[in-house]
Amino acid sequence: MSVKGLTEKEYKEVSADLTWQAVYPDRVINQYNEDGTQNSYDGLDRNGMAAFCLVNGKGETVLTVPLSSTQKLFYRMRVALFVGSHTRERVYIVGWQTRSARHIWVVDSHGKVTSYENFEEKSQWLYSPQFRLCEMPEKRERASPPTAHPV
Amino acid sequence: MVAAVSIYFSFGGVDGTPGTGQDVDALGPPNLRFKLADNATIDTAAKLVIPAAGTNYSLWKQIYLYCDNADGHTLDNLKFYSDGTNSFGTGVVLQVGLQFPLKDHSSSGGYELPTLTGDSGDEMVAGHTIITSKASVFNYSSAAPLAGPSISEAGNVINAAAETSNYLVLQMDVADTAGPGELPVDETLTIQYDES
Repeated sequence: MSVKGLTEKEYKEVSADLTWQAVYPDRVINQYNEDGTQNSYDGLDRNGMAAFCLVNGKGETVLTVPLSSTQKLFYRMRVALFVGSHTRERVYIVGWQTRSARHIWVVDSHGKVTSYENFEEKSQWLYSPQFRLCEMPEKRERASPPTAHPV
Repeated sequence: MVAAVSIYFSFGGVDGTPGTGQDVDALGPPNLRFKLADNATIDTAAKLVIPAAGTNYSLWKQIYLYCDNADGHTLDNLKFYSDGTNSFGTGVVLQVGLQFPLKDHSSSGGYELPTLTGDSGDEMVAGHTIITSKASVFNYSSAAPLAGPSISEAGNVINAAAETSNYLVLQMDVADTAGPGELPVDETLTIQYDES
């Protein structure tokens, strides 16, 4: 395996740098705050989230995924370290799933967005993530709230 | 910002307690050299010996993903693959163990010091307690990666500095059909993970 004697911090990055944005009816949470601190994806409030976006370094929105109350969001940055060519490639996976449907958007290292209806396990980028509990569809998706009947 | 990670291997010491964890990114080129000495020196000493008959082996190498700075991110779902084509030439194969000996931020319990018998390292399935099967790394490509190495940190994720994956054990086989001299090419290996 060959490299040119660079250190890890000098891995040649071949991908666009995107950050996420969680959109609620009354507010927007960015991955990075203006003061440089950051918010955790795992810690996001999933209730009432209207959309999840990916934004490039110029502040332009690359992808917007609208969400309904039954659609469970998932997001991953998939990173490949090529030890030899000493490059790092990143692909972004965003999607939602319910008990009966799933939709996935992939933003590749060139910024091209492609959508899919399901994962493909025999693929370089589109295999399943290890889902968090908050990303899993509820066993029984809630129907409309029951109507109160007068006795 | 993304998490800063490196690829390390352990060498020296004794079983369960390696002497050194070496960042392969600080070596080379190449980053790893399979030979008959257990050290991090990239040199042409301690060359593999082509046997008169059968197969000889390098000393095995135990590599792992090391988190320099998680930067608030969580890493999991590791995959390992090559380009899927063995360009080392006839009689030379790089093998990967299909089990992942224990390695985390506080323990190297799965580490086993490679041993040498005559002109050959001891074969990993026969010699490493945890490894019970192996395959050519060239069986694994981007379209069909190996799932692993696994993670033994809390929650089976890496989310703090100094946390690691378990070990991936690699060993080079040299058969009697191999030709003498330097290998014609260096091969690239890839470790891929999810970050969120």
